[in-house]
Amino acid sequence: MPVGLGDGVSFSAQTDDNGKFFDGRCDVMLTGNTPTARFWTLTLYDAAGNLVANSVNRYGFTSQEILRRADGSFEIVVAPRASSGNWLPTGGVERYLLILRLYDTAVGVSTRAGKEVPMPLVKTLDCR
Amino acid sequence: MTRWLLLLFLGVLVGAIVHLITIMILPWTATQDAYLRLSPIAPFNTVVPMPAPTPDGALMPFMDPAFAGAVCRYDLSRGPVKFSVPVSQAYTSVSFYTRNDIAFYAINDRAAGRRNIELDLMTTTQRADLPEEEDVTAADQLIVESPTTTGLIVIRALAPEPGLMPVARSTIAAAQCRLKSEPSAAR
Repeated sequence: MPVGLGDGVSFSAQTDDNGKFFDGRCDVMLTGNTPTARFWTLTLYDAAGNLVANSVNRYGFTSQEILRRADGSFEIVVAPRASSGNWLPTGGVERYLLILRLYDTAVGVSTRAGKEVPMPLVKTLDCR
Repeated sequence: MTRWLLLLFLGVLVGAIVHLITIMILPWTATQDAYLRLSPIAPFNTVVPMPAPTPDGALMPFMDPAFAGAVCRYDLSRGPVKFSVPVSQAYTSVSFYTRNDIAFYAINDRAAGRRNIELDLMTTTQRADLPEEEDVTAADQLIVESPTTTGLIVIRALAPEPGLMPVARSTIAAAQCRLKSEPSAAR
């Protein structure tokens, strides 16, 4: 059941910026900013679209929960083991995907925003 | 040789047509779409809360865990449906889906610009049958036309942080969905 266009826009990623598939045993770092929206949420799902169990019951972040730098940008660590700051646990699953949903936003299919829309950078750090 | 090529071409053409038709009728043959998954828990023209997704399972894949949600499975065969929901402090949205899960309308708290999102849902025929005087006052009455007689209204309220989930849930709990011709339910 898709998000209605009057409601919001969602973006999904299953690879990092280099095209490497997300691996729940690796540390993945999201840095930067999102397109302007009244609210956004970032959620981690397994390939079937289920939430992934973890010890802290955290399945994602909302724009209001996130810790930001002074300039408003943020850093989210998606990793199997606890880390400081914004930690999104992977539960150690092999494959997962991240969905960024923008609610009440001017970004849309019709705005043809393309490259000008700021998206967080996604980088795989080390794997264990 | 030409004849073989022609036969090959025809074969590919028939294959392509069958493939396209199969893909296009797929949504209509699905037995596990959102509407059917919700049917057992959602009686017609009543708002029921949707269980929050958990790692052990969810009503539908890819539900956003930051939202409290409820659904009204509507049936317009006995007349238009009146729908209302108060808006929460964060973000509240109402999305309309046809019987085949195609989103045809969505409105959020800011677009509604009031403390309540209130609207009448009807089919195109029912709208055409509206008495004219009623159509004149329609300026402050939001009318949504549904392409199908049955479908889903999905109400969602955001909990910007987990502690605000009870607030979002109580917003959703106040949503109402009923046949317009019926007297309002006492609450």
